Amino acid sequence: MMTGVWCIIFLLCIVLTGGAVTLLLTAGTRRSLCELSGLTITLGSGAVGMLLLWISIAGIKPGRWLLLGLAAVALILILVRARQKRMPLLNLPSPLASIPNTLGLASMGLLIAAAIAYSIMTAVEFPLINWDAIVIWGFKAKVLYAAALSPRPWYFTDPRLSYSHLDYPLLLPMLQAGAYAVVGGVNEPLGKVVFPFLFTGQMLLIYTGVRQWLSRTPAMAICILTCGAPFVVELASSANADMALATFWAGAMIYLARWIEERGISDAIISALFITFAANTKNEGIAIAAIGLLGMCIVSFTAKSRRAAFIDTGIVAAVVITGLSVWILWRAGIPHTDENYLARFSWQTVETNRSRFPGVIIGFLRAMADLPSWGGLWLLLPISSVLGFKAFQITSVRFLWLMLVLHLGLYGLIYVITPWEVQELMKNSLYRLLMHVAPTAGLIVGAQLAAVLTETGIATVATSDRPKG
Amino acid sequence: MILAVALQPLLIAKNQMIRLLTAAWWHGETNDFSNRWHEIDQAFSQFPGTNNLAVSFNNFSATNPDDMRFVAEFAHRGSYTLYPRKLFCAQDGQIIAGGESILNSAFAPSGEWLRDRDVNKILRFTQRGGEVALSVSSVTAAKSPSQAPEMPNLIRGIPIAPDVNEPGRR
Repeated sequence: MMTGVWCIIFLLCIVLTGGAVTLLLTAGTRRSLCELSGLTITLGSGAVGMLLLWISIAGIKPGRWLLLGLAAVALILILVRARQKRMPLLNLPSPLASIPNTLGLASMGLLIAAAIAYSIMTAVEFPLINWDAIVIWGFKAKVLYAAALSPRPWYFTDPRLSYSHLDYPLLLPMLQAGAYAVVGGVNEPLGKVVFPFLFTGQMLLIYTGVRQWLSRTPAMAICILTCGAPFVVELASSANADMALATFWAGAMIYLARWIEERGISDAIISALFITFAANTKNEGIAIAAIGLLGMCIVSFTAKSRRAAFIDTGIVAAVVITGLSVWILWRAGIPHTDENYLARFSWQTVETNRSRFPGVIIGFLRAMADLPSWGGLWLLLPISSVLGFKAFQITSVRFLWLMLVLHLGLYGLIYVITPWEVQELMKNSLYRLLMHVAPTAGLIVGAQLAAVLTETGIATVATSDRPKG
Repeated sequence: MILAVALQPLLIAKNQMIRLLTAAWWHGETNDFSNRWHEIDQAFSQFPGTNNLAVSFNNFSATNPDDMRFVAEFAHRGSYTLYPRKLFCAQDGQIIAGGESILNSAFAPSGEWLRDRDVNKILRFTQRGGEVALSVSSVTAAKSPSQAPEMPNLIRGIPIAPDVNEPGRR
């Protein structure tokens, strides 16, 4: 009973920290309730994970009082901001338009609630089941809970534990370790409580992102197509890092797209935080962080106010590099026993393995067309891009396409240069990699659908309107 | 679009893993679902204390996927369960990426090596005619007399064979 209460208190710590970060970044700007909730959950999870990581590197392991202290500081910040009236301007939801709309929303809401309920059930009712969740992430969570990162625990220097991928990023296991610290011991189900929380945050973010272009009902439909895809629901609380990476990357894409349209520095900084969290969640996150920064540079070149855009890009790069460098420096002493893809990445390797290209492309297309796993998400992407081609006039949509192509291209190249048997590796990892890209695909489908609806006179595209709730 | 959204609940309901976990939860079998992990945890929980453990595998093939999986499951899950204590399955400095590398490591530690690393028990899995037998022996102090072999009821379905108490014996 008490462990359950402490588990809720842990989530409250995340909410308070996320609330403080969100208030600091969104003060004076117009935001919807969904957006603020999504930001609070996702920024809170990332910020708590990062802070615990840095504090652990400084020599203090996660503890109940440490987390309560963090929450207290966050609460004070929130109260001070409220007293100064430096809060975001809230967009309240408008009344529902018609009965069919209300019924549609209600039924989709039920489906979303069912997906979240399933993720809560699998998280808190089951111990760790998945192999990677145990030997990679769960093992690290146990190590991080047991001792601070300085001095370095023996786990990180024993090559006999190479199967556990000693040099993988630590944000997510640090969050699990934080949950263990607050509930007072290693408790596999309660350690996973952050997963349904992040999954809910991802839904709120995707909905917010698509609301930039669409009204409530189709925006919720896109949210279901993206986050309610059977494979995504299945993996949501498996305690692998893929859902967390997808969530942080979704946040990065949404706020970069918004930065492109509105050039708000707060949106740029929010995206910088999401990119940093993604890079601290999985190694793939480091590679896609580079893609995100490259995309910002390309957009800045074509911007009307090139100088201002490059300054924003520089700020984002500085935040990402700072946020990543602490762990990168600490990681330097860990034996690297895995395949080094960066070292293998050469034109010669690509040339040698070029015969793999057709197999890799066919593998991707087959996986995307797998209706039982993805529903209609990947199938709607080409259809909506043809029917809603007018959306290509929007800079942020072109940016999202660029990100999607670069992201998929990067993963495709990894399969081309891998030293492993490529078909076997694709069988084990391709669907999880597609999960990282799925939110970007969902956002694009949303934007293209908005163009289709405008074309047919069903709705109007409002690229500059703030979401209404 | 409407069709895709309408199809989604049906696809979720048909997903094998979602169905399995939901059924396990419905029947109150959430712990039985990961039975294999519990068996391994229970096996290692019979060695309380602060000492480290070692594990060796005899007559297992580094080319047989079932053997590799068995070895990886016990060694990796065992390391996870025992932490912060250590479970040794190879010599120092060896890179272990899975069951295959454990079997290829030909781990045959001496008594001195085990004592230096504060190991007080060796778990030996031996495969005979498709069945796996487990024996446990104690690592004794350098010049003290041997203790009697310990044979805790370790793992369901795996017969336990007696073993002599010689540190480092394979």
